Amino acid sequence: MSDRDADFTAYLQARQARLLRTAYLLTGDQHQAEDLLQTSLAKLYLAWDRVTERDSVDAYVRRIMVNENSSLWRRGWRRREVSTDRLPDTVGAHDAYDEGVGDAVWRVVQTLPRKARAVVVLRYYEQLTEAETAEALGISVGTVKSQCSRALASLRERVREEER
Amino acid sequence: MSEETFVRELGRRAEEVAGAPLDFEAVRGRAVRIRRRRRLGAAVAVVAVVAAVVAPFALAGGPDDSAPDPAPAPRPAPGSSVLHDRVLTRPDGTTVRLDVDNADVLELGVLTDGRVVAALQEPYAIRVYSPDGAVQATYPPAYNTITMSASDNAAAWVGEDLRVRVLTSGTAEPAVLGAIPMPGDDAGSIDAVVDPSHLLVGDHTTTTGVLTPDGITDLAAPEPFRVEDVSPDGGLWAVTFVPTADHEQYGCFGLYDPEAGTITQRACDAAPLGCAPVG
Repeated sequence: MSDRDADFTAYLQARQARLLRTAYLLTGDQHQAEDLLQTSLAKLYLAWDRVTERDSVDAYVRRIMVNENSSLWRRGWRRREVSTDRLPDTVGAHDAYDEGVGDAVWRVVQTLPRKARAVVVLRYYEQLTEAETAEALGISVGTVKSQCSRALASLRERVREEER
Repeated sequence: MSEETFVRELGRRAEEVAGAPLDFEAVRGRAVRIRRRRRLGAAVAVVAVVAAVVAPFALAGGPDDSAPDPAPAPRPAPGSSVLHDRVLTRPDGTTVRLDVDNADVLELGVLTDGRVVAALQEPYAIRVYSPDGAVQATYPPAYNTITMSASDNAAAWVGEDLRVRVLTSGTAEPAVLGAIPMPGDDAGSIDAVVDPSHLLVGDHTTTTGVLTPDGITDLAAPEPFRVEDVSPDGGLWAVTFVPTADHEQYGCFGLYDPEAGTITQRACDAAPLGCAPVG
C-alpha cells in the first residue's frame, strides 16, 4: 500500500463513524447515510492529493456530503421527497424521561427541506459557527440565521401542539 | 426550548447510529466507478458545450484566472447604519430610536426614503419602521431574511405564502410577485435585487431565474452559479460557482457580465474570497 493510500486509510478508520452520524442526520435514513458516506469518501479519495491542509479534511468531506445529498435529490432517480408539515403516523419513540422532546426534535428535522436540514445539522450537531455553516453550504449568514430560527420556532410549535 | 435542545437531541440521536465499517477497498472501488463516469460525462459535455461557448468567449477573450482589464474605479461605499441599544445610527450621523431588542434582529436595511426594514427572530416577522422609528407594518415571512438592492431603493423577502414581496422606496405597501419555483413547500432564495422589478432568485445553491412582475424567466448562464451581489447599475454580478470535481473543496468565485453573457473574472485558488462587482 502506498503512503498516500495508507494516509487515506488512517483517516477513514479514524473518522468514518463520526461522518456516518452526520450523514444519517442529513438523510434521516441509515441505508442512504451509508451510501452517501461511501460516495463522499470515494470523492475524497479521488481528491486526496489536492487536500493539502489535513486539518480541513473533515470540512471538505462535510461539504461533499451536503452537495452530494442535494444533487442525489435533484437527479430524481431516487424517490423524490416533498417536504411536509405532516408526518405519516408512526409509532412514536416517546422518551419518558424527556417528555418526548427528543422525538419532537427529530420530527422537526425530518420535516425540514433538505437545505434547511443541512443548516441545522451543521450548526447544531457539527457545531459550526454561522459563518462556517454559510461557507460550507454556499449560502448567506442571514439564511443560516433565519433557517435556524425557523427550525427552533417549528420545534416550539410542535412541542406546544403535543402538550395540548 | 432552545438551541441547546437541538444540540443535545441531535447528538443523542446520532450516537445511536452504527454501521458496518467501510474498508479501503470498498471506497477505492466506488472511486474508480466515479472516475470512469466523470470521464464519460466530460467527453459528452465537451461536444455540447463547445458550440455554445466558443463564440461568446472568443469575443470576450474568455475567462481567465488573471485580470484582463483594470477594474473600474469603485463607487464610494454608501456606508452602513448601525443598530445598538435600540438606537439606529445612520451613515450621516443622525439617529432614530427603534423599539426592538438587538438580539431579535437578524438583518436590517435602510431604504432611501428613510424607512427601516428588519428581519426579526422574535416575533418571526419582517417589520417596517417609518423614518421616525414608529412601527409601520409587520409581515409574516417564509424565512425571516431580507435582500436589499445595491442602491438601497428596495427590500425583498419571501412571504409566508411563498410569494415574493418587494418594498420600494416611496411606496406604502410591498408589491407582490410570484413564487420562486421549488419542490414541495420549500421557499426559494432571493439572491440579489437588481432593481425593484428584477430579482435574481434560486434554490439557495444556484441562481436559476429572474423574477419580474410578469413572472419568472430562466437565467441563461454559461454555467451554474449563485449570485452574491450586483453592481448598482446591475451590469456586473459577483458570483460563486457551483463546486465541480476539480474545485470541490472551496469552489470558485467570479464576476459575470449578464448583458454579454460571459464570465469576466474567475478565481479558484483561495477561500473564502469573493468578488465585489464594484471593484
